[in-house]
Amino acid sequence: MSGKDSKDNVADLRQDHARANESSPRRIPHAYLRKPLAIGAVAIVGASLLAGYPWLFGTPLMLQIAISVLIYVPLVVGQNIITGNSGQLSMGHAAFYAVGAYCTGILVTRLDGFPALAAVALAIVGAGLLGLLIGFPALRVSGDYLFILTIGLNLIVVSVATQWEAATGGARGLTRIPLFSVGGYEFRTPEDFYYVVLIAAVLCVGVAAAVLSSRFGRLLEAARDDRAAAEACGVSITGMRLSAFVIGSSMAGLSGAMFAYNLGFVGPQSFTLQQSLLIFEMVIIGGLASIRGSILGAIILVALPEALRFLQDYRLGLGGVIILILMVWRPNGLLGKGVVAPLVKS
Amino acid sequence: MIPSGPARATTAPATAARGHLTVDDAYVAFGGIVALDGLSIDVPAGVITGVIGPNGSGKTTLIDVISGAQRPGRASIVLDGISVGPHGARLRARAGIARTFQHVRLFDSMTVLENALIGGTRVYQSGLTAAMLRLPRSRTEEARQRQAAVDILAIFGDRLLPRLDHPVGTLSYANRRRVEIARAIMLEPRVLLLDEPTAGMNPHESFELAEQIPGLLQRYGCSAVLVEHKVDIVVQLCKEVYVLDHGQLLAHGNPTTVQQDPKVQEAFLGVD
Repeated sequence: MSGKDSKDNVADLRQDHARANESSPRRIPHAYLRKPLAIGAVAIVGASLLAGYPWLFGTPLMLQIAISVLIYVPLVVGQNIITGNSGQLSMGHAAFYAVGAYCTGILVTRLDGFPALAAVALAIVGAGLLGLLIGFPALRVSGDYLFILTIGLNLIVVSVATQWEAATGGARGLTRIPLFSVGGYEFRTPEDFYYVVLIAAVLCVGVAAAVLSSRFGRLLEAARDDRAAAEACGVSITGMRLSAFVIGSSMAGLSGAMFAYNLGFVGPQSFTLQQSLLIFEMVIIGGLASIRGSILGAIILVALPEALRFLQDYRLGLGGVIILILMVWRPNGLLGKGVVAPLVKS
Repeated sequence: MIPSGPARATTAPATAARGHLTVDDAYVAFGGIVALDGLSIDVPAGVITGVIGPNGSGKTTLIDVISGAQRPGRASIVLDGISVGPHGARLRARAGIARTFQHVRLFDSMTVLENALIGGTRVYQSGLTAAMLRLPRSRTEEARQRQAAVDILAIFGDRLLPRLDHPVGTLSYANRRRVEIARAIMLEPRVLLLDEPTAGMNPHESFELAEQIPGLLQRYGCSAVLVEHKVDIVVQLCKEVYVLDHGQLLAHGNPTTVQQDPKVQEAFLGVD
């Protein structure tokens, strides 16, 4: 190629890029999203499926499975922001879940007529504050040490919930949580409550998508990929790691509030290390740093055990089996971008 | 979050030369091994200053001390009249000190364009919340940064432009180096620290890069510190060169005359 050709070529490429920018100033990174018709169709079909679910699959079991999946979605999305996007190996997500559930439970059982939306908001803030608190020691340790530290956090939260009877009701838990209600309207039936958790999950996914596709999402992943290089670019590692923890734990707080309203009961046995492990498995199976992966992971690990009830107790090992197969066949999870291995190294 | 004051850059190319850097009495020891032994250098604004020396002479340690990656035992570092001594790596980047690494360090999960955009972090005026909310000022700024990144990557001709959306992991070694340099330029630096930019490149690629470096620096009128093993490149690019040996200054001056210095020849040939 002669020098002149190559120069023209470069000029063309730059113009191409400029044109591409003009026509779509909000450049969306995923190629499949560039076809507006396809997105429109998928969005309409998806939205009507979700909205019509109670009519389409209205059996009580199917409805409860859907509610359960939707309660897990913010949990898994939050864990994935901490572990997938920010690269922090945290294994105590049930602790934040618990804080959200107990915040809601305590507020609405102790204070008569406490507005449900305010309880949900405070659950989100409470869990976020615990996330901030844990984010600080998480700055000093990383990789496998953080893993152990967050296990410790989970154990502490469960033991406080069990022992502090005056506030948490101890091992018997908090009962008689009133129905979720907004402005006097009570969401009595599972069909009604389905829409509450659907809106919560959609809001959470929307926030996560907006945050992660912005410049902030890029900085988060830069701090994860290479600490020294990110600092040399002026990126605050502290800021990124802390905000990942705060965002991820707040989402768990939202799930906690939904959990409390769904069961009408909050007890310590729902927030054990086993629960954290399940959330972690959902992230690994769905795929690190992928919102769609998080949703898929929640669906698989909630719905599949129900579908496989004929296997009886063996179905509890299902997550383990799926992970074993995936680690060989697809180590990044089904829809994952990140690699699992560097989590321990860094 | 962003330090205010004279360190802020404008997006328009600077007209006046900048990046006058002085390092005075830098001392670094790793255990009993002294890596920098009271070294002082002076980097004039707007030009490239070379640093050469045999392996283990303290060149990379010097870059690390200037960029804040290595905390020195003692050192006084002044950039354009402002002391950056107490700052860590992040704040020095914010003050306009950009660097590349001896072993290329990119954000491997990202594309070429995204890597370059991370380099521009200090330049953004709108905050992260504005970016999450897609506020208009944040969107125009993002578009402007993307255009700046494309313009800077264009300096390497068609090496990177057709690969803007490729993950950096798929690039050749030389292209990874080019991305790293582009990322450093995106910082709109006052001074650019280049740690062996041509390492691992073949002679043709090295020569091509040496041709492109002055153009890159001109964009923001910054100065540069060039650590390099290839003497012909240093001779081509630098008016002035510092020769290090065992963390001390061995010689200093015009690259061609420095080469004739018997002390320098002795250090490079390893005569005891």
